[in-house]
Amino acid sequence: MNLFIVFFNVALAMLAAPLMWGITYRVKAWFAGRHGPPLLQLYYDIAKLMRRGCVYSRTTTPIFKIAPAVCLGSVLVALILMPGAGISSWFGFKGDLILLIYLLGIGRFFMVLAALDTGSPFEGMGAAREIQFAAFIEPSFILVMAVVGTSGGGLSLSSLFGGTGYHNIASTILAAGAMMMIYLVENARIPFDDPDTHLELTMIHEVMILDHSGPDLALMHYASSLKVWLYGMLVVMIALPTIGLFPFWLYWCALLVGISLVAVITGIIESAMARFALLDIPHILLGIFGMALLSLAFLLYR
Amino acid sequence: MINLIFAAVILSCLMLSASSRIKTCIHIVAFQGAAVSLLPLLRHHIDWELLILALIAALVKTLILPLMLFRSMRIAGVRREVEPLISYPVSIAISLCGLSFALWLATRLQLTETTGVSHLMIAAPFFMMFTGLFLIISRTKALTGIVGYLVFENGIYLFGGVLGLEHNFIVELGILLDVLVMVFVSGVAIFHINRKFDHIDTGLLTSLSEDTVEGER
Amino acid sequence: MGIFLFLIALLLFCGFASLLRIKGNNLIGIMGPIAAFAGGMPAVFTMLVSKSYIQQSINFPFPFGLCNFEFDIVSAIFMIPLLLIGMTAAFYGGCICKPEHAVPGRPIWFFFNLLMAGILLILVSANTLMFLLGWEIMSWSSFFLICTYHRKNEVRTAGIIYFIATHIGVLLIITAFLLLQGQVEDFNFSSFLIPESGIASVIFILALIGFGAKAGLVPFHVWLPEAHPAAPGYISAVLSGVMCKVGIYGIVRILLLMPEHQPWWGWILLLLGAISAVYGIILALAQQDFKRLLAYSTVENLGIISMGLGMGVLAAEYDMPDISRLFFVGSALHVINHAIFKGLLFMAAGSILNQTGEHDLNRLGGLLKRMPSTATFMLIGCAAICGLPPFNGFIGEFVIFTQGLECLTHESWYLPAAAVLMLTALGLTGGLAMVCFSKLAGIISLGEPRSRAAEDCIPVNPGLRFPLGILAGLCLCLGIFLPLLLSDFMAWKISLIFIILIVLCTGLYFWRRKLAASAHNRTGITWDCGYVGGSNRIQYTGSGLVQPLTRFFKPLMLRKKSVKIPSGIFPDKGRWSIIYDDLILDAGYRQLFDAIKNICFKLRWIQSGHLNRYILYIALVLILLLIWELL
Repeated sequence: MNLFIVFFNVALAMLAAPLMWGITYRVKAWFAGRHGPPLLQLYYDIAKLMRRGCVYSRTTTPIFKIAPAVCLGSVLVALILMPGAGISSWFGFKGDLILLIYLLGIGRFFMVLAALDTGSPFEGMGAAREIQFAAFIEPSFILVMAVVGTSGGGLSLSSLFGGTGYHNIASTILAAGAMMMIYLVENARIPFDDPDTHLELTMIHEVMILDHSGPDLALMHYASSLKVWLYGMLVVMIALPTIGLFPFWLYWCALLVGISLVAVITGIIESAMARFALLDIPHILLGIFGMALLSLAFLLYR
Repeated sequence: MINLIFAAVILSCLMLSASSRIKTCIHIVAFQGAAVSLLPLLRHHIDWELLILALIAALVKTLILPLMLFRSMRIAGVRREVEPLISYPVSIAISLCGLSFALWLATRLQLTETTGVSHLMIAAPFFMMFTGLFLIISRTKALTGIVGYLVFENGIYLFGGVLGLEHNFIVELGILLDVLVMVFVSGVAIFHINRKFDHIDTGLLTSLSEDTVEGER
Repeated sequence: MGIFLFLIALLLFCGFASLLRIKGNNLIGIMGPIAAFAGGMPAVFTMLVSKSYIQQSINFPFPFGLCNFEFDIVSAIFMIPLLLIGMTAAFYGGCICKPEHAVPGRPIWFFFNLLMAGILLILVSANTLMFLLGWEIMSWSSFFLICTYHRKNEVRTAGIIYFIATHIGVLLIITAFLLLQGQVEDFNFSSFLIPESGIASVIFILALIGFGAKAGLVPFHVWLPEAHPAAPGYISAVLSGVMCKVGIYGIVRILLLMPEHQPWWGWILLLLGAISAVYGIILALAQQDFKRLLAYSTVENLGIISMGLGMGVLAAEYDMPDISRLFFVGSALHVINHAIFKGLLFMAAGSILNQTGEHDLNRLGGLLKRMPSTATFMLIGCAAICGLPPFNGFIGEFVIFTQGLECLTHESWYLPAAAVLMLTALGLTGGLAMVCFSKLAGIISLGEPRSRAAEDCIPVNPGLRFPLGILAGLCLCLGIFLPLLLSDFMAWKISLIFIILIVLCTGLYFWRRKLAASAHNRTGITWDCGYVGGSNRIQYTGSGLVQPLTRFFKPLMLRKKSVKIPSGIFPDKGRWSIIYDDLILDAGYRQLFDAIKNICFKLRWIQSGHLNRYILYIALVLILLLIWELL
């Protein structure tokens, strides 16, 4: 049964993850009064890129080619840790939430290295901002994970279904809010990063993969969409702990709906807000840390 | 008899601090050496060990050491003055203070009950030590410093003799040997200082200290 | 037990033999640590498996008397870095054959062997005198090793700072042992009485400062960032990987010698550790000299170990013995792992320094193409030190993290608060370490070279691949297989997941290669917006990469900025440099010592140079003592 969970988690993510990109962009287009790209646009893009050849810079080393594989591989491995339908993954164990954070770290480390590998100042700048945000967000992520681990008791990701969330509404709301912000930061969305600006200088995540092309770019895009899916899953599970009580099939549908909802919310936020000034972002990240800390405090000292 | 010797020793110490000639000082030290090394013979029953020790000590303290000092005096061409940092009247005053302090010490030490010697006999060695230290501190000539050191050593020897502690033959002889070597080495050193700097005034040796180096700071 | 005493003798012999002017003396010096590794490792592994305890008493001549020697699991854990890093560093040192390194050859191996013998003596002695003897040997020999290139001014300065720090430390350690000793006649640890709690606290604080100075805990870390850049790379590897750990060993030993602990000891260890970790990594990421960067990262890692110890003490005080034990296990794992990857990084840094002559990482770049093996090993070391799976840095931090989460469930107020503090500090440290080491790896080995020196550098002597390769291989192997040793939770799954990760990434890489091979690939230049005047200097530098963070943490550092703006009709060269220095050294200790110096200068008249006056001082002191005694 636990092995089925792994299978379903990975399969659903691999199939549905690029869809979230489409949903977000349709919502944004709807707000802007445009028609917008097709829902399956990212699938088309990936399929097209897979068939294309690559352009490599003469500066790059094998690191540049290894990075996309590692980015995708680490997210996939992170996905096999995720529980589902009220039971833990076969790979789940006590402390797997820490491993999850570190697994996501590998992808980032290699993405930054690949960016520096090109020797491009744009990509260096993107890398500088990306790792800065990541460094500030890490304590918050760990505290949110601490909330998850202690509220369910098991100190593992399966305690996402601990169901204690509603005893402690304040803690749950704060944790879910913090997780939502972490989702936005880590996936480089507005208000922290704008992937759609017209200048390389103003992007963060997108500029880091500026020199990737062909299958490399496809893998990078796919890995990012899986990452969006993974964080979306965490947001849904923290906000709705009772989802674990649903019957097996209903759970997966609910999950899909929930993550789509997160994607819709992302679209709304992106349409309603502008990006924060770059120098203010560390302060806002500290605010997220405050939220996570408060959530933990509500849980521990109730 | 014993008390007389002690009085003589104390007086000689006072003389030391007041005398202006190195030659006199050396004579006094020789006399003190004779006194302190022969004193044990007067107080205890005599065995061979003690006798040999006393004779050797007397020989070294009254003859060999003064002769070596005279020799280095001659080599260094020392004139007679002691060259004090402190004037003679003040020296005597300080010496008297030292004597009273030594007497106070002797009363405080409470050795009289246990060993049955008088306060004066305890005070005398201490006074000798103070005098020795005082000579080292207050006189500039290196030779006077050696004299002061010998006086100090005599004081220690006397203290041992007075208390009649079980004489450790080896230890006493060892100390004697040390003193001998010390005087010998300082004799050589004085000769070299003299040759290098044309004087044996240690006060002028301060120019060798860190002062000048730091002065350029 | 006997094997270790034999090894001490062997190391001493090799050390002295390497001083002889005979052919192959350097080889003898190198063989010492290697023989120690071969001889000591079986005993260490036997101990780790059996978890027993060996004791032996030997009667030494006069000043020592009957000395106990003990070898237990704690000694065994700290023995692993000593033997392993000692062996690889000796190997590495032996392979360096550039003439300027061969000149100070003989004394290096003498002091190297002596250093290892001293540390070995510390680890096995259960006797104050023997412990302190080993400590002194370690301090002295490491001082001479740091001053290997003593002709350079900054090396001598570093040596003096180390010298002062280590001697203040040893003073406090001796005091602590004397207090612990109390009135007991012999010097063996086993005959110590249990001190009362007030005295025990004083002992703990003294030992913490003394040993902490050796371990490099903030604010006693100031010698580390000076000494490590000054020493040759493989010496730094031993200093950072082994000698700093001996400081931690001392703290652990003191904790074990005193059966009853106070909760606030745990708090102090935790706070010092948290401050060291965060402050260390912030300064590390701001550095431009890559060996200084590594030195500060040592401060950070020892902070992590200290946090683990502090939480261990706290958890034990709050009746959670299992969790406390696991905290100590986590710290021990990190001790071993840190020695391995830091040794690797220091040796790689040494190679880079030798080949390019550049201290400043902003002037390097593209070394992965020019020194492929060294740069690859360095990348592995960087990944490991960030705690990234599947390398070995992960497991120690993982255990500490997990136990921190366990502590959150305790019902008291204090333990969860401590755990939250630890989780935050560890998380922030982890995030910043990622920045710091992507900078180190990325700027040095990737991109284009930023200076002539980096452009023209040639690969190292192929023999150097072996010591680095051994350590890099251990980083990976220990990362995968160490979790199997942790029977307390289902850690074998970690190993399994790591293997899946490696297989998956490799598979994806080859799949991608196949895909790319079937299409038409081109090579070109990096995207530059069509700008034609580009040079290698327009690349992002290391300082640029961390600028957002150095800007944020500016108040914690001392910023030294020097700018020269080009001016005139035909402007000459401009210059811009910012260096971030240690606030604690420059604003703290330097001010303190300046104040002490001023007071001392005011008292200089005492030191007049008159012999007479010195004797007067002695006489006065003697007389005062007499009066004081008799009154």
